[in-house]
Amino acid sequence: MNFEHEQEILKQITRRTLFKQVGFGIGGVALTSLLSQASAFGLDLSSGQGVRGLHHKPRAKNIIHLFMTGAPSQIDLLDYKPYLNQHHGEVCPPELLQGQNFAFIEKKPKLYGSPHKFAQVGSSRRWVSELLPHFKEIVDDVTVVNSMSTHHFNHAPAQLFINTGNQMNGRPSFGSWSTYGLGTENQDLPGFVVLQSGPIAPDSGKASWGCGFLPSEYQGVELRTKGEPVLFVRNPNGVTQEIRRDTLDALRALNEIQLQGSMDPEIQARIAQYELAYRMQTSVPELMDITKEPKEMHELYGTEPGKKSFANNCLLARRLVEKGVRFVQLYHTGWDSHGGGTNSSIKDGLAAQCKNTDRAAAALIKDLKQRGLLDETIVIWGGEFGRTPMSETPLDSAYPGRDHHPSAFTMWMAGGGIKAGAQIGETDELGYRVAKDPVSVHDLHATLLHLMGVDHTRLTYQYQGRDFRLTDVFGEVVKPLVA
Amino acid sequence: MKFLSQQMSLGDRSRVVAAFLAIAPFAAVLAIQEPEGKVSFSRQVAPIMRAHCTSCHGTKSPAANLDLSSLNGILKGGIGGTSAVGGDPSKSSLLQRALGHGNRPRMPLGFAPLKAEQVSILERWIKEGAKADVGKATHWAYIPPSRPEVPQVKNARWVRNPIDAFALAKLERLGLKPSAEAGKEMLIRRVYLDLTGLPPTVGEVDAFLGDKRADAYERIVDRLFASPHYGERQARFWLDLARYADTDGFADLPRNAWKYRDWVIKAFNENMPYDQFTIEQLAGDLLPPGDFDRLIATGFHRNSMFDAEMGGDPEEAHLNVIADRVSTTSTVWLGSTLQCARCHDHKYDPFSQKDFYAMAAFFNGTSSKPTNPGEKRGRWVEPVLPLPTAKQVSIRQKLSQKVEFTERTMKKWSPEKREAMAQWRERVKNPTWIAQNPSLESFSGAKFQRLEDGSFLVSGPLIDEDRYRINMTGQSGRVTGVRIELIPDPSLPKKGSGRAHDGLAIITRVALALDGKKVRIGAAAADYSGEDFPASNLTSDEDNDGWSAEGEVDKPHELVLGFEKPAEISPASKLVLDVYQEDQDPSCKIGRFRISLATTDHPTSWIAPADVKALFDKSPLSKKEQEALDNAFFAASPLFGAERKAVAAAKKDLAKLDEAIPSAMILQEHAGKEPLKIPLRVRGEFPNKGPDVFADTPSVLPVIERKGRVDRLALAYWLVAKENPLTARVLANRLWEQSFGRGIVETSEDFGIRGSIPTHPELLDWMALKLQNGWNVKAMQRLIVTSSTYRQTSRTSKEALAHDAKNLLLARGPKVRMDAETIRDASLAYGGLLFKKIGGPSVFPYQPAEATENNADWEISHGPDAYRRSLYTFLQRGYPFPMFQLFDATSRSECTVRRVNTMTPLQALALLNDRGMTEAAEGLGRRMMGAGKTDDARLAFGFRTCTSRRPSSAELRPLNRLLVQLRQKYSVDLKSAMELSGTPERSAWTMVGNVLLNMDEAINRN
Repeated sequence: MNFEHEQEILKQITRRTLFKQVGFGIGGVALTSLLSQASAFGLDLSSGQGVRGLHHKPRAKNIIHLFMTGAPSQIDLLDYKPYLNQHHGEVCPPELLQGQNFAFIEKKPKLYGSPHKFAQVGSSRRWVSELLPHFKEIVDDVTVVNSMSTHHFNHAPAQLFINTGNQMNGRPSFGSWSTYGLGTENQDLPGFVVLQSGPIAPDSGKASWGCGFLPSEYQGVELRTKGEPVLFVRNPNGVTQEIRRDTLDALRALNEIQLQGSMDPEIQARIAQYELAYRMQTSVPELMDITKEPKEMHELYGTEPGKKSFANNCLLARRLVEKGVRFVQLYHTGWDSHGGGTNSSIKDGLAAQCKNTDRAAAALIKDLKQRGLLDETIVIWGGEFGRTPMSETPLDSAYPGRDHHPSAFTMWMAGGGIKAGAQIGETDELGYRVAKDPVSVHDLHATLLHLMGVDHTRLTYQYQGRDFRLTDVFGEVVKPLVA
Repeated sequence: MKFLSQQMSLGDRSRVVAAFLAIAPFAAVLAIQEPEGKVSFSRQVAPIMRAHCTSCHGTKSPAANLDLSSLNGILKGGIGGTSAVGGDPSKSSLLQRALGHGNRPRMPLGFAPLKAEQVSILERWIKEGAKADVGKATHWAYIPPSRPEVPQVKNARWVRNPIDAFALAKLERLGLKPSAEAGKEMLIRRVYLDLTGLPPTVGEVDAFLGDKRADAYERIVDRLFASPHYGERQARFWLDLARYADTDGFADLPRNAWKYRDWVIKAFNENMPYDQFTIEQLAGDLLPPGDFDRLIATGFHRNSMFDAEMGGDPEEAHLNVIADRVSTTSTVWLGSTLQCARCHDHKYDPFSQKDFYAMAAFFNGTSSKPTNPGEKRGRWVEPVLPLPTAKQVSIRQKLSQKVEFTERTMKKWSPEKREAMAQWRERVKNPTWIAQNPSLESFSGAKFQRLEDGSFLVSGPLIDEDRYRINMTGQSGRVTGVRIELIPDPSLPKKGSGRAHDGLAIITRVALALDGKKVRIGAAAADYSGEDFPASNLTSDEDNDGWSAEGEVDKPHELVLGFEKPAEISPASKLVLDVYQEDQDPSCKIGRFRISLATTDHPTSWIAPADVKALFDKSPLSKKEQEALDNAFFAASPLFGAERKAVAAAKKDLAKLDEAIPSAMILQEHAGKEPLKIPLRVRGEFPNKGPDVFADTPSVLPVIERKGRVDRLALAYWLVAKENPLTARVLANRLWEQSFGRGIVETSEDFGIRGSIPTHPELLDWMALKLQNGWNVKAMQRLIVTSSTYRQTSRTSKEALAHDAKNLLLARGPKVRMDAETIRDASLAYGGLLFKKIGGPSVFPYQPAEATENNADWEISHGPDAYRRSLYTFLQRGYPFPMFQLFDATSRSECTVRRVNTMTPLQALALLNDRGMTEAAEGLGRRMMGAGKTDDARLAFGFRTCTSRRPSSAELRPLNRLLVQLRQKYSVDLKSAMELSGTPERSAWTMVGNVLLNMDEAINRN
């Protein structure tokens, strides 16, 4: 292709982008990629023939991340350790503790077996805790990764690390990188949506879904089931939607007078943004209203409209993905089982957490599957680190707990391009360290991007003179995860 | 298309695409517009390589093993041998391949050939010897500026100062003309917003329009430089660089940083020379002792984020802080990305990993220590400087004197006191408690088991909050107090008296009622209290943590609550004591306790610490023991109730005062003459220590003066030394960027090899040299804003946009979207709400409840503090103010030079619906209603307020139409009118105001 031809394509893109594709925009990289691929394949972009995926054919379009902040106890849920149970009450071998920092454990901690029963389920014969009865029904659809580890043992940095590949605030989150790289398929909705439930806020605050140095259109947008569904979407009291329309008509007329005089494309874009904002005032509340979902859906998920609940958010996640939202992140807090009280014990407290989340998470997989959406959607479940095989509380405590444990934890994932019914990695007999096939947070990011059609080493953004990427200088695609 | 993306920032997406078109023709133009003379490798040759060659022949797996990204690479050559032979173009394959000679494919392969001018540059450069520019530095930014000649131009009348000569010379070379001067209305609004961040009022615009003097504009400029709001505006930019915030980041605890923010405002207002400004911030603590301001200035580097959550390695946390200080210093003063060299040598720029650690060593001498020395866990702390006002100092002195005097008088012995002491000892030895057998209830369903000794053992659920209700009946007559005994039990954790795993119990508050009527507790006392849990907490009205026996949980303890007035009880009466246990840790509940009542006076004086009781029968007593005994008497005896009350009140006032005393976070060098050093970290990994590196400046830059200790002060002097090629250029460029929206070097944060090349290199150097002469920032900004270049209209046309969308050639004035803070400030000003107080503690303006629901620290400010300028808004790194975040303000986690500029529908929603914006619209509506007799006059006033210009009749038409619609609708829908602004007419004007505030022109600076 010659230079002139390239210029011509650029002009076409210019018009399309500035005058049509306002909204949450197709990503900067996606745009450059369109160009390079267009020149490679000789495509005529003006016909609207798009190229999806950035570097190779994608296996998935969307990601739903069920972020269980506070860190669920893998020992009591999905990392079955009979040897640990046998040695319950013994002092933890000191060689395991050398050079380790703990947030709260002191002196000589004792091993603590899981008080919960495990059973082998599904055709994959996976060991699953009795706390997760609904998960047992989807076990053959998911891959369980028992060999995750991280570098950080405090909540805030560890949550940021899972989200951004870095423990600092101010770095772009995974959802931002995804929408920056791939754009969104629904110009009328944000490409990256965040939903929250649980007793507290995530420790890392809004930095968890921030866009860092990427443009703010790639920032995660919080949607809510209570109060304003998205910040500022409601008119002030005393302003009806009819009056809003009148004001926007006047505003448009004024801005168009300016545009005619200057031909400034920014004014054109701003006019369009106001129209989109107006449409969002109806479309977002409609989207967030789950009352019209059929009864069997409410039964499947255990939803109660109007409440702030994980179940409602799971159902919403499915609705959002259906609408073409690229990245949906659900935060559910309350997993920080240090013990010492009912809610924080790995007995009653953990059981209650599971009761509040197990059914809906399984429902999400079933629902996506029956709609044929699971093939193009990845669902990931997990916390920011694991919990110790040792007890943080005295052995005879009625409210036993476990401390933060970065050396090993478990996540599960399912859907687009991910193996069904597999298990990756193992921990040692005590569940203390990863013993086989370790998977780092960077590896996880690399793999998920890979499934989305993105080479993680090539999705970069130049900031302060340096090419940044989600995986920093690390990360390898975990091949055994890929179907 | 790779060459295009290297020329521009992808950040500015709304302009990206237009830039694709615009930059292509000019990328080449920019590279060759050099004055006559020798070809410059860094300014002319290297850009051609970068644009057309290095995507294949780069550092990373270069094609044909040929790396054209550096001079060395070009001379070294690839598979085919050297590519440039000095003086011999015919043997230089670089040139031959670009021309397509020698039966080999023409380079760049698959792309358009190089332009004739570009080929000629390569040829001339080879003929001239194929050499670097001068010295060892080859990149333009590391070569000191040489004073460029101010160019001669044809249209000399247009030139107001040398800036114009440089800008115009370039336009004339390209056969272009500058735009007309902006109208007075556009100009006054532009310069107001640029210099103070606030729009002019209609009155100020009118005065300017009426001022026919030749220097009317210059007079405005001078007035703005003298305005205290000038410093506020400049501080906004500097605080982005200084990553100023009011919280730590991570767990995001609040910090006391605002004194530094106010120092910055003051320094700009006083036009502190930039060299002094630099030295005080980097090394104010190392200057000869002066006023506190120099110390406050060092807050610059205390703005680093800090992880205060327990458990981390404090040394590693400190290294992270040091790295942030290196990175910030090199970005702010050197425009260099030194942080890339933390783990390995810089991939593009000539900075080695050793350079990074040599810079880090400068910051390794500040005092800091873990809070728990010897332990790994702990927080690294740096000093805080209390800054009481004169009034606070004098109040503090008076209160301290009062405490001291009262205590001294109290402790003066007299025969009466000796007698009272003897009585008190007797009472403590033989108290008269009446045991109770109450019935018990637990809020959360805890179970109580009565033991033989009359105490209760507790079991059952431990949920978040609990209250033990203790119902006492059967007592009659006069009752003066109640005692709660905490009794350790072997079945409880740590054999303590509480249920937490460390044996602790915490009573957060108590309440007492007799037959449903509140019984006031006058005093509370305990034989022992944990350090942060004094018994007096239980009688305080203020928020506190309550009482506990933390530290001695495995011993029995007594807590006595004395009634304010004795209660008269009949046998049928019910006395109810509620013991609340609401600590954050749900397990800190009482595990075993016993209840008894007192019927004679002053029961709180019946107790004494166990070690004091042991002294009662001992003799002789040491001096220390005697003192302990005496103190217990003074603390308990009813004789001194008034004195104790007075002392407690004064101490409370003192504590309050101390909390109110502002403080500043400062740097402090430890004493010592040792050379500063730090171990290099192999691959940047904290535990992987390499050799020690001594403090030094990067080797590609001039050497540092080694007269005294090579420390932060020496570094600061080095940064502002005449020899430093970067500091002045970087500053000049940032000042330019502030006024033009884009720097002469677009990547104002990166002057390195990957940064953009300057569009007007001689102008940049001229400004840099001018700055070095006195470092007068206001004078430089004055030159910029009074130049003809700045004063051009920003009006665009289709042709102008197609030709030069980014305005790289400066053929028109700059249009810039206002930043987040300015949009809010201007809107408050349009609405007449802005409270223009300068400085002070940060404030908490309204944000939607949804944004603050998880954010306990955000206590909304009321009154005028709700309408302060945006730079005073409490800046929480973890919970950014939504409106600012939407308009691209950063979280201030790291130093930011350039903000990105985005456009999203969420911005529109915020400007339309945010409560603050609605209040501004209402204010504007109110002002319009009072501004004239006719609708047209009122509308014109509102329009002028927001844009500084008069509306055309075409523009008045939609506004009038809207006004009619709104009046009609609100007069029918009275309920809505009531809700919005009270009456239909007022509501109508509010919504007209809402439209005006949202106009593109109202949020742009034209």
